[in-house]
Amino acid sequence: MTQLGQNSQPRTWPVLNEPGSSPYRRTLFGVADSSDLAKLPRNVPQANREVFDIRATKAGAGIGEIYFYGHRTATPEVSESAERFARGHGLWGSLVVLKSLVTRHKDFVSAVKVDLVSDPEVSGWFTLRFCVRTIAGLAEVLEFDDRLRDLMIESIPAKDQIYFAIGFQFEELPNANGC
Amino acid sequence: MDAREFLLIAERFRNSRVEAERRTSASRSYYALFNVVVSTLAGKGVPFSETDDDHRRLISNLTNAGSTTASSVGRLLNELRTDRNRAAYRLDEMFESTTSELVYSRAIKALRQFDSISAAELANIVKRIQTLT
Repeated sequence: MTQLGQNSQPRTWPVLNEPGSSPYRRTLFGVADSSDLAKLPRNVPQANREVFDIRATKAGAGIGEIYFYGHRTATPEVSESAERFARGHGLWGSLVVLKSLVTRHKDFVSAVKVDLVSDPEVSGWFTLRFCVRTIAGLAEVLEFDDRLRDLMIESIPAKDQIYFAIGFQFEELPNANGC
Repeated sequence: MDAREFLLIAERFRNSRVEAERRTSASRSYYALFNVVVSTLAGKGVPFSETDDDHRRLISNLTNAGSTTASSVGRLLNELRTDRNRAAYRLDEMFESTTSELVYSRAIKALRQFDSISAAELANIVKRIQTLT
Protein backbone atom coordinates (compact mmCIF):
# COMPACT_ATOMS: atom_id res chain seq x y z
CA MET A 1 0.00 0.00 0.00
CA THR A 2 1.30 3.43 -0.80
CA GLN A 3 2.29 5.67 2.03
CA LEU A 4 0.37 8.85 1.52
CA GLY A 5 1.90 12.25 1.43
CA GLN A 6 4.92 11.38 -0.63
CA ASN A 7 3.41 12.36 -3.94
CA SER A 8 5.08 15.22 -5.66
CA GLN A 9 1.81 16.69 -6.97
CA PRO A 10 -0.72 18.19 -4.59
CA ARG A 11 -3.85 16.09 -4.54
CA THR A 12 -7.23 16.18 -2.97
CA TRP A 13 -7.88 13.40 -0.53
CA PRO A 14 -11.32 12.19 0.42
CA VAL A 15 -12.99 13.48 3.50
CA LEU A 16 -14.94 11.28 5.85
CA ASN A 17 -17.87 13.19 7.22
CA GLU A 18 -18.03 13.04 10.93
CA PRO A 19 -21.38 13.46 12.69
CA GLY A 20 -21.24 16.57 14.82
CA SER A 21 -21.77 15.35 18.33
CA SER A 22 -21.67 11.59 18.05
CA PRO A 23 -18.77 9.59 19.41
CA TYR A 24 -18.19 8.34 15.87
CA ARG A 25 -14.73 6.98 15.40
CA ARG A 26 -13.50 5.09 12.39
CA THR A 27 -10.08 3.58 12.30
CA LEU A 28 -7.84 2.63 9.42
CA PHE A 29 -5.57 -0.20 10.44
CA GLY A 30 -5.86 1.14 13.95
CA VAL A 31 -3.55 4.08 13.38
CA ALA A 32 -5.85 6.88 12.33
CA ASP A 33 -9.43 7.95 12.78
CA SER A 34 -11.82 10.13 10.88
CA SER A 35 -10.72 13.24 12.69
CA ASP A 36 -7.29 12.78 11.20
CA LEU A 37 -8.57 12.81 7.65
CA ALA A 38 -8.84 16.13 5.96
CA LYS A 39 -9.05 17.61 2.56
CA LEU A 40 -5.85 18.93 1.12
CA PRO A 41 -6.85 21.58 -1.40
CA ARG A 42 -5.23 21.53 -4.81
CA ASN A 43 -3.87 25.00 -4.30
CA VAL A 44 -2.53 24.29 -0.85
CA PRO A 45 0.38 26.62 -0.07
CA GLN A 46 3.88 25.24 0.14
CA ALA A 47 4.04 25.68 3.90
CA ASN A 48 0.95 23.61 4.40
CA ARG A 49 2.17 20.92 2.05
CA GLU A 50 5.22 20.64 4.24
CA VAL A 51 3.00 20.25 7.25
CA PHE A 52 1.15 17.53 5.43
CA ASP A 53 4.30 15.76 4.39
CA ILE A 54 5.85 15.84 7.83
CA ARG A 55 2.77 14.40 9.41
CA ALA A 56 2.21 11.78 6.79
CA THR A 57 5.72 10.45 7.09
CA LYS A 58 5.71 10.37 10.84
CA ALA A 59 7.64 7.56 12.47
CA GLY A 60 5.42 4.56 12.99
CA ALA A 61 3.72 4.76 9.62
CA GLY A 62 5.22 1.70 8.04
CA ILE A 63 4.45 -0.07 4.79
CA GLY A 64 0.94 -1.44 4.81
CA GLU A 65 -0.35 1.26 7.07
CA ILE A 66 -2.17 4.38 6.13
CA TYR A 67 -0.99 7.08 8.44
CA PHE A 68 -2.58 10.19 7.12
CA TYR A 69 -2.79 13.43 8.95
CA GLY A 70 -3.95 16.18 6.68
CA HIS A 71 -3.77 19.86 7.44
CA ARG A 72 -6.64 20.52 9.81
CA THR A 73 -7.91 22.81 12.45
CA ALA A 74 -7.03 21.71 15.94
CA THR A 75 -10.18 21.47 18.00
CA PRO A 76 -9.23 21.78 21.64
CA GLU A 77 -10.33 19.04 23.96
CA VAL A 78 -11.23 20.41 27.35
CA SER A 79 -11.43 17.83 30.11
CA GLU A 80 -14.51 17.71 32.31
CA SER A 81 -12.54 18.71 35.38
CA ALA A 82 -10.99 21.65 33.54
CA GLU A 83 -14.35 22.85 32.29
CA ARG A 84 -15.95 22.48 35.71
CA PHE A 85 -13.11 24.40 37.35
CA ALA A 86 -13.10 27.13 34.71
CA ARG A 87 -16.84 27.65 34.88
CA GLY A 88 -16.85 27.49 38.67
CA HIS A 89 -14.14 30.13 38.99
CA GLY A 90 -15.32 32.55 36.33
CA LEU A 91 -12.49 31.57 33.99
CA TRP A 92 -14.48 30.11 31.15
CA GLY A 93 -14.40 33.29 29.09
CA SER A 94 -10.62 33.53 29.42
CA LEU A 95 -10.28 29.85 28.56
CA VAL A 96 -12.26 30.37 25.38
CA VAL A 97 -10.12 33.38 24.46
CA LEU A 98 -6.94 31.42 25.03
CA LYS A 99 -8.26 28.50 22.98
CA SER A 100 -8.86 30.92 20.16
CA LEU A 101 -5.38 32.45 20.48
CA VAL A 102 -3.75 29.03 20.35
CA THR A 103 -5.76 27.45 17.58
CA ARG A 104 -5.54 30.38 15.19
CA HIS A 105 -2.02 29.19 14.39
CA LYS A 106 -3.23 26.31 12.29
CA ASP A 107 0.06 25.61 10.58
CA PHE A 108 1.66 25.14 13.89
CA VAL A 109 -0.76 23.47 16.22
CA SER A 110 -2.02 19.99 15.50
CA ALA A 111 -3.90 19.32 18.72
CA VAL A 112 -4.74 21.04 21.96
CA LYS A 113 -5.79 19.48 25.22
CA VAL A 114 -6.80 21.46 28.26
CA ASP A 115 -6.61 19.77 31.61
CA LEU A 116 -6.73 20.72 35.25
CA VAL A 117 -3.51 20.12 37.15
CA SER A 118 -2.82 20.67 40.81
CA ASP A 119 0.41 21.78 42.40
CA PRO A 120 1.69 18.91 44.54
CA GLU A 121 3.36 21.29 46.98
CA VAL A 122 0.88 24.12 47.31
CA SER A 123 -2.54 23.13 48.54
CA GLY A 124 -5.41 24.52 46.50
CA TRP A 125 -3.28 25.74 43.59
CA PHE A 126 -4.87 24.55 40.38
CA THR A 127 -3.82 25.40 36.87
CA LEU A 128 -5.60 24.98 33.55
CA ARG A 129 -2.86 23.46 31.49
CA PHE A 130 -2.98 23.84 27.72
CA CYS A 131 -1.05 21.03 26.13
CA VAL A 132 -0.24 22.15 22.62
CA ARG A 133 0.85 19.41 20.27
CA THR A 134 3.00 20.81 17.52
CA ILE A 135 4.89 19.65 14.49
CA ALA A 136 7.34 22.52 14.86
CA GLY A 137 10.83 22.36 16.28
CA LEU A 138 12.12 24.07 19.39
CA ALA A 139 13.21 27.34 17.75
CA GLU A 140 9.81 27.90 16.18
CA VAL A 141 8.04 26.94 19.38
CA LEU A 142 10.04 29.49 21.33
CA GLU A 143 8.96 32.23 18.91
CA PHE A 144 5.38 31.05 19.06
CA ASP A 145 5.58 30.91 22.84
CA ASP A 146 6.69 34.56 22.94
CA ARG A 147 3.89 35.71 20.67
CA LEU A 148 1.32 33.72 22.59
CA ARG A 149 2.48 35.11 25.91
CA ASP A 150 2.23 38.67 24.63
CA LEU A 151 -1.24 37.98 23.29
CA MET A 152 -2.29 36.41 26.56
CA ILE A 153 -1.13 39.42 28.52
CA GLU A 154 -3.07 41.70 26.17
CA SER A 155 -6.20 39.60 25.96
CA ILE A 156 -6.74 37.92 29.30
CA PRO A 157 -7.41 39.77 32.56
CA ALA A 158 -4.34 39.80 34.82
CA LYS A 159 -6.24 38.17 37.67
CA ASP A 160 -7.08 35.19 35.45
CA GLN A 161 -3.63 34.64 34.04
CA ILE A 162 -2.26 32.80 37.06
CA TYR A 163 -4.72 29.99 36.33
CA PHE A 164 -3.36 29.21 32.87
CA ALA A 165 -0.19 27.51 31.71
CA ILE A 166 0.92 26.36 28.29
CA GLY A 167 3.08 23.37 27.55
CA PHE A 168 4.24 21.92 24.27
CA GLN A 169 4.34 18.39 23.02
CA PHE A 170 6.75 17.93 20.15
CA GLU A 171 5.34 15.65 17.54
CA GLU A 172 8.73 14.97 16.00
CA LEU A 173 9.55 12.86 19.02
CA PRO A 174 8.37 9.26 18.83
CA ASN A 175 7.71 9.10 22.56
CA ALA A 176 6.18 12.53 23.00
CA ASN A 177 3.62 11.89 25.66
CA GLY A 178 4.13 14.61 28.18
CA CYS A 179 3.19 18.22 28.18
CA MET B 1 25.13 31.71 46.73
CA ASP B 2 23.84 33.48 43.65
CA ALA B 3 20.71 31.71 42.40
CA ARG B 4 21.87 32.32 38.83
CA GLU B 5 24.43 29.58 39.38
CA PHE B 6 21.53 27.14 39.15
CA LEU B 7 21.39 28.03 35.48
CA LEU B 8 24.84 26.57 34.93
CA ILE B 9 23.49 23.23 36.10
CA ALA B 10 20.35 23.71 34.02
CA GLU B 11 22.40 24.47 30.94
CA ARG B 12 24.73 21.53 31.48
CA PHE B 13 21.93 19.00 31.79
CA ARG B 14 19.30 20.36 29.41
CA ASN B 15 20.41 18.04 26.60
CA SER B 16 21.51 15.16 28.73
CA ARG B 17 20.83 11.62 27.60
CA VAL B 18 19.89 10.85 31.18
CA GLU B 19 16.28 11.72 31.86
CA ALA B 20 16.88 12.39 35.55
CA GLU B 21 19.41 15.05 34.58
CA ARG B 22 16.99 16.68 32.13
CA ARG B 23 14.43 16.80 34.93
CA THR B 24 17.06 18.33 37.21
CA SER B 25 17.75 20.93 34.54
CA ALA B 26 14.08 21.96 34.42
CA SER B 27 13.92 22.16 38.17
CA ARG B 28 17.08 24.32 38.41
CA SER B 29 15.76 26.61 35.68
CA TYR B 30 12.66 27.31 37.72
CA TYR B 31 14.46 27.80 41.02
CA ALA B 32 17.05 30.10 39.45
CA LEU B 33 14.35 32.46 38.25
CA PHE B 34 12.24 32.16 41.40
CA ASN B 35 15.13 32.89 43.75
CA VAL B 36 16.54 35.77 41.71
CA VAL B 37 13.16 37.50 41.63
CA VAL B 38 12.41 36.82 45.29
CA SER B 39 15.83 38.02 46.36
CA THR B 40 15.52 41.25 44.37
CA LEU B 41 11.99 42.03 45.51
CA ALA B 42 12.71 41.10 49.13
CA GLY B 43 15.70 43.45 49.01
CA LYS B 44 13.29 46.23 48.01
CA GLY B 45 10.96 45.51 50.89
CA VAL B 46 8.42 43.06 49.46
CA PRO B 47 7.48 40.63 52.24
CA PHE B 48 7.70 36.87 51.67
CA SER B 49 6.46 34.23 54.07
CA GLU B 50 9.19 31.70 53.28
CA THR B 51 6.53 29.06 52.81
CA ASP B 52 5.34 27.18 49.75
CA ASP B 53 2.71 29.85 49.26
CA ASP B 54 5.43 32.30 48.16
CA HIS B 55 5.56 30.56 44.79
CA ARG B 56 1.95 31.22 44.00
CA ARG B 57 1.92 34.67 45.53
CA LEU B 58 4.97 35.78 43.58
CA ILE B 59 3.42 34.76 40.27
CA SER B 60 0.16 36.44 41.16
CA ASN B 61 1.88 39.64 42.30
CA LEU B 62 4.05 39.92 39.23
CA THR B 63 1.10 39.32 36.94
CA ASN B 64 -0.93 41.98 38.72
CA ALA B 65 1.86 44.53 39.20
CA GLY B 66 0.66 46.77 36.38
CA SER B 67 3.83 46.30 34.33
CA THR B 68 3.93 44.44 31.05
CA THR B 69 7.45 43.22 31.72
CA ALA B 70 6.62 42.03 35.23
CA SER B 71 3.53 40.38 33.83
CA SER B 72 5.59 38.52 31.27
CA VAL B 73 8.06 37.39 33.93
CA GLY B 74 5.12 36.23 36.05
CA ARG B 75 3.69 34.27 33.15
CA LEU B 76 7.03 32.64 32.43
CA LEU B 77 7.46 31.79 36.09
CA ASN B 78 4.03 30.18 36.03
CA GLU B 79 4.93 28.07 33.00
CA LEU B 80 8.21 27.07 34.61
CA ARG B 81 6.46 26.11 37.82
CA THR B 82 4.14 23.78 35.94
CA ASP B 83 7.06 22.27 34.04
CA ARG B 84 9.08 21.92 37.22
CA ASN B 85 6.19 20.04 38.85
CA ARG B 86 6.07 17.71 35.88
CA ALA B 87 9.81 17.20 36.10
CA ALA B 88 9.68 16.42 39.80
CA TYR B 89 6.48 14.43 40.11
CA ARG B 90 5.17 13.10 36.80
CA LEU B 91 7.68 10.32 36.43
CA ASP B 92 5.33 8.23 34.31
CA GLU B 93 5.67 10.73 31.45
CA MET B 94 8.83 10.93 29.35
CA PHE B 95 10.65 14.22 29.94
CA GLU B 96 12.26 14.98 26.61
CA SER B 97 15.28 17.18 26.00
CA THR B 98 13.13 19.55 23.94
CA THR B 99 11.11 20.18 27.06
CA SER B 100 14.13 20.78 29.31
CA GLU B 101 15.55 23.07 26.60
CA LEU B 102 12.27 24.93 26.36
CA VAL B 103 12.19 25.37 30.13
CA TYR B 104 15.78 26.57 30.21
CA SER B 105 15.14 29.02 27.36
CA ARG B 106 12.08 30.36 29.11
CA ALA B 107 14.10 30.89 32.29
CA ILE B 108 16.83 32.76 30.42
CA LYS B 109 14.25 34.90 28.68
CA ALA B 110 12.49 35.70 31.95
CA LEU B 111 15.74 36.63 33.65
CA ARG B 112 16.69 38.93 30.80
CA GLN B 113 13.31 40.59 31.00
CA PHE B 114 13.56 40.95 34.75
CA ASP B 115 17.06 42.38 34.49
CA SER B 116 15.84 44.88 31.90
CA ILE B 117 13.42 46.50 34.35
CA SER B 118 14.70 49.93 35.21
CA ALA B 119 15.17 51.04 38.81
CA ALA B 120 12.23 53.43 38.49
CA GLU B 121 9.93 50.77 37.07
CA LEU B 122 11.05 48.30 39.70
CA ALA B 123 10.18 50.82 42.40
CA ASN B 124 6.68 51.15 40.91
CA ILE B 125 6.31 47.38 40.73
CA VAL B 126 7.34 47.05 44.36
CA LYS B 127 4.88 49.74 45.40
CA ARG B 128 2.10 48.02 43.53
CA ILE B 129 2.94 44.61 45.00
CA GLN B 130 3.01 46.08 48.49
CA THR B 131 -0.56 47.27 48.01
CA LEU B 132 -1.55 43.78 46.86
CA THR B 133 -0.06 41.89 49.80
